[in-house]
Amino acid sequence: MSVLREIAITTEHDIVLCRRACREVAKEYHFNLVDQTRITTAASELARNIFEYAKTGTVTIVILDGPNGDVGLKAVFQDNGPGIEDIDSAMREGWTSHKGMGLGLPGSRKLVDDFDIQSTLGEGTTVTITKWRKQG
Amino acid sequence: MDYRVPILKIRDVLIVPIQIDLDDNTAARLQHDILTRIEQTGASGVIIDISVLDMVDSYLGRMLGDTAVMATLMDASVVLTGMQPQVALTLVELGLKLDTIHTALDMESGIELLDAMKKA
Amino acid sequence: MSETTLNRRQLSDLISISAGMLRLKSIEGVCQTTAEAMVKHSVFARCVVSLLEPDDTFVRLGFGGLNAKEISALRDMPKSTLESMQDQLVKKFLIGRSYYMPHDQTDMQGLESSKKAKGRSKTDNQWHPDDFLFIPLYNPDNQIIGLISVDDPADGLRPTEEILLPLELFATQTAAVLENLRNVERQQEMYEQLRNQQMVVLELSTPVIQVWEKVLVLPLIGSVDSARAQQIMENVLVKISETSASVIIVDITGVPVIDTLVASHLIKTVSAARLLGTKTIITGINPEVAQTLVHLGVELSEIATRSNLARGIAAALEMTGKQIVDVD
Ligand SMILES: Nc1ncnc2c1ncn2[C@@H]1O[C@H](COP(=O)(O)OP(=O)(O)OP(=O)(O)O)[C@@H](O)[C@H]1O
Ligand SMILES: [Mg+2]
Repeated sequence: MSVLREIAITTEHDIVLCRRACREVAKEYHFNLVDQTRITTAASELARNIFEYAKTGTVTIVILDGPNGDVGLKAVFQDNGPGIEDIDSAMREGWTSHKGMGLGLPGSRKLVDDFDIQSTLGEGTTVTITKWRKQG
Repeated sequence: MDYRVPILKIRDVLIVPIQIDLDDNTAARLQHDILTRIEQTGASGVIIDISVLDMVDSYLGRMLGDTAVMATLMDASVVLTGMQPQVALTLVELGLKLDTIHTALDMESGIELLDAMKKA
Repeated sequence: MSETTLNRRQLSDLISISAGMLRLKSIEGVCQTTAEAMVKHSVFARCVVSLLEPDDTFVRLGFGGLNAKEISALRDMPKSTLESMQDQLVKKFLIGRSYYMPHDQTDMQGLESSKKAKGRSKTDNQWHPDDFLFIPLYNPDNQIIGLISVDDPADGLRPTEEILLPLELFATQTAAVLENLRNVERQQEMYEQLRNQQMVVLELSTPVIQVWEKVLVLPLIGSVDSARAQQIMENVLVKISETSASVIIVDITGVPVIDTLVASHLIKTVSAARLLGTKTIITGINPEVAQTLVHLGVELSEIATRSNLARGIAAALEMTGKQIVDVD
């Protein structure tokens, strides 16, 4: 496992930089076009959540070597923002605390293979996503 | 980044080719620009071409859908053209249907669609 | 931002050329078509399209308005590199998204110095034979992947933003087509690689048949599991954009049962196809499948259905402005 990119989210434009970095890594590791797009879109949603709700945070992109030569792209979205009070609600489609569409979290979960969310009120939120490369 | 998406006018149709990956501010400003331009010119149709975009997320998707509704309120139809297949698939999986906006494969069929809608 | 009332004819000509380019399979062909279109549909009488190679040199691939001798002379000239162009592609030369370099502001001997000066007296808005004008081709990340160089304006004037906008729009389309071709090449390379490694490549037995110019049929046969449904969905969408189909008929006569997961893939395909601008007709729905769809809460208003494939095809042709008539 090696860390490939680290992107600090501090401005709105960093959302663009984050999704571009994900696209580049996915391309470099030969994910197919649809999966590249899924990863990039999920990254955009989660980076925007950091900027919107926690103001700042970091995104780390890592490549995983799985069993039997599998390759996985893992991205970790970490912030020290307000945290999420009720994760179950936040993961429900259409649930939003502000005026969003409530698509970001449930939508990006559908786009990736593994999705994990940890959050503590007053301490921050960490969302981890992984997409495994398809063979053939 | 102070890039602005160009808006071209041909007869009573506005053509908006989105040429680069837009950040949220630029996307929001584009919505404003399109609506202002509809008001100024009395355009009856708008073609937003996204054939170059390799991703549309919920923010941009929502902006496009909202723009279509707002334009309709101003008596102009919006056609979204050129979406790449993997972008369409990902948008649907994300949960965004964009059912407020008309679509066409490319700008040419977009213009045809606008013509047909005007006749109808 | 700019607004101009443009020559509608010019733009629609350029648009239909770029739509046609989607069907071209070679990068060189796209460059050549672009160069010819530029010459035919703009004020500029000569055009050279060059692409940036991985080693950062420009290779000239498309020529418009040049004779064979001029082309071979250009081909023999040393290649420009991105580095050698750094002084030219700068902000002070920018008009719109293009770069215009008046001859007296650059000492460039670049892409097209084979031309002869005509010794026209110089006034401010006059084009000089040693002027250069480049319309860059950008990829989605806004990096230059090539240059369209044009010359010899019929009006003898320096370019304006209004003149350039439709050409830039066309250049955007060319760049998109080129990017697509390169992606296809890359995927083919990957595919070869996998083959060489003797990995089992999953062949998919889901033919998509083009029954009419703009009408595709996808016959689904046998049991469709979720993994296969996912693959089918991706194939269908790619095929739609390759063929510019305006209607796709999914015939499920041969599918005895559909589980909810597969049904939801089917619905997703319909929604995604709509985003591309394509209508879907589902034919051959049997009672079990109908029940599944209703239990899923599918919005039937979104989906056109016909009882069998023949009726589906008739409906599709009608949607594309054609009609089936009896000949007697
Ligand atoms: N990093 C975070 N820190 C704190 N709260 C968060 C964070 N991410 C998400 N949330 C909370 O979870 C809710 C749901 O997030 P989600 O991204 O699904 O929808 P949204 O951001 O409200 O709308 P959309 O993403 O569709 O524009 C948010 O409204 C917010 O309250
Ligand atoms: Mg969100």
